[in-house]
Amino acid sequence: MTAPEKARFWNAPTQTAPRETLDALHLERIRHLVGWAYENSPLHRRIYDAAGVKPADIRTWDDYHHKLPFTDKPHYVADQEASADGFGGIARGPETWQQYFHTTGTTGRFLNEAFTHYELHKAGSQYCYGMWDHGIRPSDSMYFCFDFGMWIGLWSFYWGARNLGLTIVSGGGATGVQRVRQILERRPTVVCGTPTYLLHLAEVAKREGLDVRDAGVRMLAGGGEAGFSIPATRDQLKRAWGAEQVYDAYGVGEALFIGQSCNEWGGGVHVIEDVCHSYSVDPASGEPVTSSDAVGEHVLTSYTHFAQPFIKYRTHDLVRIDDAPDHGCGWTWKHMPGTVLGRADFMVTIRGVNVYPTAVENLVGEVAGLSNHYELHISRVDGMDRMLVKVEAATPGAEAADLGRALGGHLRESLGVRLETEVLPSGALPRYELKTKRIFDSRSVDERPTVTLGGNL
Amino acid sequence: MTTVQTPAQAAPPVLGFLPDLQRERLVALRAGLLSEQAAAVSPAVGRALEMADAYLFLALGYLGHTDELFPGESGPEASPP
Ligand SMILES: [Zn+2]
Repeated sequence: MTAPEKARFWNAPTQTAPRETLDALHLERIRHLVGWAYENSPLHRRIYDAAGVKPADIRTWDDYHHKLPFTDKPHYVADQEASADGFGGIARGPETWQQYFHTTGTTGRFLNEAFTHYELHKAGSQYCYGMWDHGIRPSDSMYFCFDFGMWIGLWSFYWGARNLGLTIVSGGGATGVQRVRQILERRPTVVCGTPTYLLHLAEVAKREGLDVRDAGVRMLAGGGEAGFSIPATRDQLKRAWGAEQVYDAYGVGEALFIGQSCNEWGGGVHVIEDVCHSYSVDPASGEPVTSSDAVGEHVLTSYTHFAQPFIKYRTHDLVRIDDAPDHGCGWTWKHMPGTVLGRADFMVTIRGVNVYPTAVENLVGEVAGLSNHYELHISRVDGMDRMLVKVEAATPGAEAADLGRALGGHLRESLGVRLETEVLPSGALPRYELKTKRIFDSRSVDERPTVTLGGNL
Repeated sequence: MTTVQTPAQAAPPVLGFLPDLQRERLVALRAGLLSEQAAAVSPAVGRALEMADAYLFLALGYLGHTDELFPGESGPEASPP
């Protein structure tokens, strides 16, 4: 290895900088960004004018937390619908755009997104910190189990691979069997896909009399669903592929994968503080959460996206943030244990207990005899939240009643409340290549948890 | 390293001696790059230097540069859409 390849960190000057240094850089960038957005983004000017805030008013963290208004996806969607070109919150003209995308998700409307060349590269740089920490170097390669479409998450992985210097192998337009054969032939270091799809590929290989473990893949990576954060799914993936490492990343459609796991894997991801500022707020009051044990809604400001700025933007993701992590990796960047604990909008209150879907997902993975496929159905009946957990037997002919009892008991013991369960035969739940739909919330907007942020929206 | 003139501690320290020194050198390098871009003798040269600036700006970002948010912010591209 050359000297730079032996370096322990991708970018030690910031990645290991003291908290005060990082916060000073954040405040400087945020102040600059607020002023720039006020001058260049008509949407931000409207929002700040409506709140009676001028950029010069934002000088301290207290100003940022309390004077600057939150922004939210509906602002951008409304602006998008009112605009002639179909884009919302734009601050740089189409002549600067290199590519556009739209966000996907289980709720809400598509948001069209525009990125310049620099912004795509900057977004790609997010991956390098974690990948480097896991020992991935420019001489390695990455195989993509995707057709390259409008979903930005995959494209940003592609830009990450370019940024790090990896050899890129595209599995676009290929069937599962063809992909298995390509992977066995090309022997990529990293295979990128959704957790569900990667498990599916291992099954496809078996049916063909092949074994993906023979490909010598070192790392599985990707996103689109929670699996890479869930210990049981991580273990299952490692076994199925014979891989040493499972890479966890946390993406926000509007700011891309701003959270990346380190090699120590402290049970979650680090915020990539070179590309964004990240903090969490009490969903009821909008006050910053100060304890690393408390769950709050994640709010971020992106230093990646300027064609379409996102400043103090609500992600609706529930997270815990530890701003002094000490799990031995040496990074000083904020850490989110458990990655995303749930969606603020999907939180369910059952007999006074707040239940996060991600907690249920973790527990399902711990029950022997179930496949890794499941669905959570949330509803409101007679004014009460209910959650039905649909799972699938791992093998044909399994005794559904026994599995149901085992699952129900495990959920009740761990969560303190009883959830309804339904065990389906092996293979009964749908498989998805891209983002797997696992949470179905039939509650109306009025029935979902009230997120007011203290009226500061 | 002896040929580089460091601005006489005008800016407060950001990330430490070596990173700050490299940032200052890259800012100077970028000034040269931008003047060459402005004087480009063909669209081919101009565009190549524009792309080079995007890569150089990534390095500046890694080193705590906050004077500009992105390449082109202070240039003609930054005018409102
Ligand atoms: Zn770590």
